[in-house]
Amino acid sequence: MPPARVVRFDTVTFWLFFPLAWAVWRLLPLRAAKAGTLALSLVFYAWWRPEYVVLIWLSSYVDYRIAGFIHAAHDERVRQRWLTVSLAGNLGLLAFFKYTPLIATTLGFGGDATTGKPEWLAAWVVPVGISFYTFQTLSYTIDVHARRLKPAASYFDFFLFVSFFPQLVAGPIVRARELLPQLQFRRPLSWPRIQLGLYRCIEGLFLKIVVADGLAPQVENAFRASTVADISPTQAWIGAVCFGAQIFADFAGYSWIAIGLALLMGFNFPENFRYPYISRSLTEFWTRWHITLSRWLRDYLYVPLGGNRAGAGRTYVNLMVTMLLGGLWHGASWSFLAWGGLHGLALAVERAFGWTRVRAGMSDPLRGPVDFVMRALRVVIVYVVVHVAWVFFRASDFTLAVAVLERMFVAPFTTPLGLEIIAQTPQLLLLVPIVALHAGQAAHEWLGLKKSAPLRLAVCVVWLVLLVLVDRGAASPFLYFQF
Amino acid sequence: MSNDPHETTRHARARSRRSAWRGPWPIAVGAIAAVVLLAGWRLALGSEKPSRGVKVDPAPKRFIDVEGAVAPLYLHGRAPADGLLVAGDSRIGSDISIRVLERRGVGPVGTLWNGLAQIEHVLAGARTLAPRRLVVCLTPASVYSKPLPHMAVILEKERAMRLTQRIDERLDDDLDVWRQRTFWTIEPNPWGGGEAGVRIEPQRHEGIYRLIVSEPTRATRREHLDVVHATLRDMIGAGWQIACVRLPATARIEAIEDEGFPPELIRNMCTDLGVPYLDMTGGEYTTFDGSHLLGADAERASNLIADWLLTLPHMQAR
Repeated sequence: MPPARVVRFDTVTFWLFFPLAWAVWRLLPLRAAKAGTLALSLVFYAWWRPEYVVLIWLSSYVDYRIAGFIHAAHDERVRQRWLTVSLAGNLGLLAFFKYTPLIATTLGFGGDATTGKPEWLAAWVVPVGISFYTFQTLSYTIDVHARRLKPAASYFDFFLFVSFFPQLVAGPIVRARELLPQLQFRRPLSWPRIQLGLYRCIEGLFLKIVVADGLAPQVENAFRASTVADISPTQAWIGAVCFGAQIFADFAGYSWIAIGLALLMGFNFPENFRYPYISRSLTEFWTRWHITLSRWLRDYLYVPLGGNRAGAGRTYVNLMVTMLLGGLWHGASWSFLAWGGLHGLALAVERAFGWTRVRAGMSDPLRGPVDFVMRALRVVIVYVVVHVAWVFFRASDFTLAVAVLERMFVAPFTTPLGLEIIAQTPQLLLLVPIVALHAGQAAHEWLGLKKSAPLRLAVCVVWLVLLVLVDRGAASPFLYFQF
Repeated sequence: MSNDPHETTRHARARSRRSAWRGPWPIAVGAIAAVVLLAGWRLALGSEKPSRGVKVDPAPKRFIDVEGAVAPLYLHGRAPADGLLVAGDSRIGSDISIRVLERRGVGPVGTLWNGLAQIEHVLAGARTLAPRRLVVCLTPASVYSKPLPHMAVILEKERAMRLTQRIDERLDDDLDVWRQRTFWTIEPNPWGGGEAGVRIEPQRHEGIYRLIVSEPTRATRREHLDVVHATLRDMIGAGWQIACVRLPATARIEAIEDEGFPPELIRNMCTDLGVPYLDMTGGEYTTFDGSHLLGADAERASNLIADWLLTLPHMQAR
């Protein structure tokens, strides 16, 4: 079966759909607006595969009912039992769809090079967005159990929260206590909100369509199993750097469009990316990269495991477990596990040495030229560590990841560097917007430079013009759709 | 509150600037600025980007499902009732410029092709479309070559595509074509890479062509040519206006083709059918792989074909 497509934000179809969705939410009476928005969100998801709408309905209905039972129960054991049912149900659903192929292959049911994959395995489909909406509904039942949240007044509202189209298929992972209250009224639109919403959408589209899709071939050249042994060290580094930029542009781009759409409709979504490549530690990196996932893992996994309250050794274990499971959340393969494990190890090392001072997104003025040099050094170190981990994330298997890393770190001592390829790769200019965005944020946080409205407008105009003028490569799905 | 009137004025001006940025006019200014920049780009560079490697010829693309096909078939461009179809294999994609043909006045043009699409299936696809004028580009490979498994896989994927996907692709394709026809667009990743935007290796396809026209396939190819012959006769009887072309390649490829598939076979078929035949072999054309023309020569070849078509009364739109 061919991979089907959801209505993607970077399609004409979506931008014909959105004005209708906007009008339904903004112009109809509130009850009708909710019903219409729910219907349109389901159409949005059904555009991919109508049959999987049943799954999202089932998942949300079961958790809605369970949350009701948890709230009504007074006996803590009964409450705990219902929470266990919710956890088992959600994680079971996720595991079934995501990990069945890996388990089947590991147990020898995945076919081989001679027989090929069995038909059922070749046709296996992971429902788009399942990792996101199961985490959303799980956070709801957990918060109700912890008495941080009262159950939603109606299933209708809850279903709308789960299926709300801007965040349905690839986040941000919005919590019930963040979105449910916003569904009870319509926030007035203001011109600054509309400006910001448009800006986020245009910036997100530019990052996805121009930058991420444009960098894809450079990444593929480096991560091709048949030719990896022949690529130069420079080409391997270009592949890794371009992948880091591609995944940022793709995922942050998608998140920014989602946030922009929400703003235009009158909602506030949590920020999901905050220029992660200016991080000075891995701990800080995880307050800037996929922020809604890292806070979910922190609040619902790391802290319940004990967090950093049970001594140093246990803290390191908790960090590793959290990041390993975070890796597995992304995909069913050993290379994702390795990616998570590397991050867990780095976080544990940072904690052991006390390198975890975090200043994400806040003003953190420079304290002189030496401070600048130290910060720059730390940014480079974190950048390299993150990109070594990205190699595992991108490679189709462990063997390929090791091969690419060999080209990056060992081959420079044994083969020509191949630096001339830099001049032959004008596509590297696509890295400039990523660098500029990060440099601008660093200037804001470290030098206190205010974000300028005229500059933002000028940049937005440039993004828009380039969106029209730059040809798209083979349009690829948002990378995080596969999660 | 300060009593300094200048400070009060400065504050008022700052407040006024801040409130101006909070109004609607930045959006309007931004939109106008974008339109002005795009208009300026178009004025400065025009809309027709010259072909550097592979020809620049944006046209909408549509899958045509044909029963029994061995490869997916695509229509590029337009196919109204007064249009002209140009049918063949992948050499159509590189060698025929829709833009050039239309500019020369042959009418709305659509090309119908895919790599290793068998011509009898292409003709079946043509019969499902509205035009009744057809230029058939025959090569030994398009008459018959052994079906490739991966083409069958692509064909199945196309057939399995859902309606919603087709809608998405169609709309996105239309927007891209409009964009590329309106502006001189920037390609971050030219097809195949390289300075000319494509890797140039004129000998690349020689081995493939030798294999295609090798002895074991010759009898089968003759049989398929008979099918093509009968189909064309049938189409002429149904009112189709048909002409045939043999597209150019490098001298070595042409020699390989002649050895495995004598050129008089096509010529005799055309004579028997009474259709005009243009043999473009023996010319000086540059290709990037031996059989597919580079962009500038594709435009030259398309101009030649247009010149020829315009001399044929029976190939004019009725």
